[in-house]
Amino acid sequence: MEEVHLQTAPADFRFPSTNQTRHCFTRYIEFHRCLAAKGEESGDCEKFAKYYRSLCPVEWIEKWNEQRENGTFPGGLFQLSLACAQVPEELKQGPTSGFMTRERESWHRI
Amino acid sequence: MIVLEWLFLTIAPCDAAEPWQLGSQDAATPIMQGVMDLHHDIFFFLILILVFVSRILVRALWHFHYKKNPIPQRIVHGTTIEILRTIFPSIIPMFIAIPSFVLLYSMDEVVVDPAITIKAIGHQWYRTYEYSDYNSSDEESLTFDSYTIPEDDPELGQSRLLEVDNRVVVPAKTNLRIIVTPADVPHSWAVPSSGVKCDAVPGRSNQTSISVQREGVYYGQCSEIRGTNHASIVVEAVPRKDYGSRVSNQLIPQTNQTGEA
Repeated sequence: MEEVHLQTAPADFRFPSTNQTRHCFTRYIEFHRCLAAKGEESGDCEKFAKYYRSLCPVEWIEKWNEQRENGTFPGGLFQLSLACAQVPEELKQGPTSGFMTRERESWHRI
Repeated sequence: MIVLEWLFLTIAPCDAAEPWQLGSQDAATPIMQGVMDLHHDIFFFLILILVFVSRILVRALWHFHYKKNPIPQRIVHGTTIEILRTIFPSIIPMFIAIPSFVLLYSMDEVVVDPAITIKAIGHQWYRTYEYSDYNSSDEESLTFDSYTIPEDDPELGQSRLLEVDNRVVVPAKTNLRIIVTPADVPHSWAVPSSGVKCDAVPGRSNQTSISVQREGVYYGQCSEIRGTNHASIVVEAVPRKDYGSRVSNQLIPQTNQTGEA
């Protein structure tokens, strides 16, 4: 059996402390924002998926996936991040407006 | 005979608690080595103060005994001794504080990127370990449960209430990130030889970094009192080249079994 290449989510200097809860949550949101911006076909978002799967307990991921399906997920999933341009016009309006306040509130709940 | 036994015990690395143990278990990580060094540093000052204070106390009792010295002296002021006994006690805590803070922040700091992430999830009363670095979807996960072997069940040579059925396999000489979180009540993930004790708080995930320097089996226990069947923690460090085969041979069949059941 050949040696396995060991690789995991890197240390992120936005989250230097012992508490890594937000690290996991942020990576999860980043993945879904990336999907919203670039679409599922581009393989650019897979690294974020790898990061959040490494950092988040499976139970949390399941809960958040369920919340996303029900539309009750507390984080803003469609925010334009600096790295991802080209968000479809319909995503910028509609039910996603006001996501900034929702996201700020969600930090307190975490 | 006892001397021989001591010699023997100090040569063999002690990675589990033993009866009537006084000192720490042998260090397996640089952090634990630092903890032990700090302990010895502080003990230097501790013994210095103990000897000095005892000497003053005994000397005072001896020389100022009421039979030897019936009329007490009435000295109430001495500038030199007052300056000395103010300055020195304020310098000594600094000599203790500086190495202490150095160690504290070096434990906290994550300087290098970890090579693997292991999630230790506390349950009443077992632990689930997740190796999720290679998952390609949210559903599949390399997960297994680790139960303490009950008191009436251990095989010959196993430690009572320390051994588990599935050990955590980690590569030696590798930077590990351990994510600690519980699924129900507060837990704690502690391995004395590795110098790790990380509380697991519901709804929060804590990380701790270790780098085990030698191969071996390290025993720990949950450090949060929460009823019977305290879940034990057994970390088995294997050489890095064997890690892949150990994980895939040992863990994947088990996860498949649980998946079928």
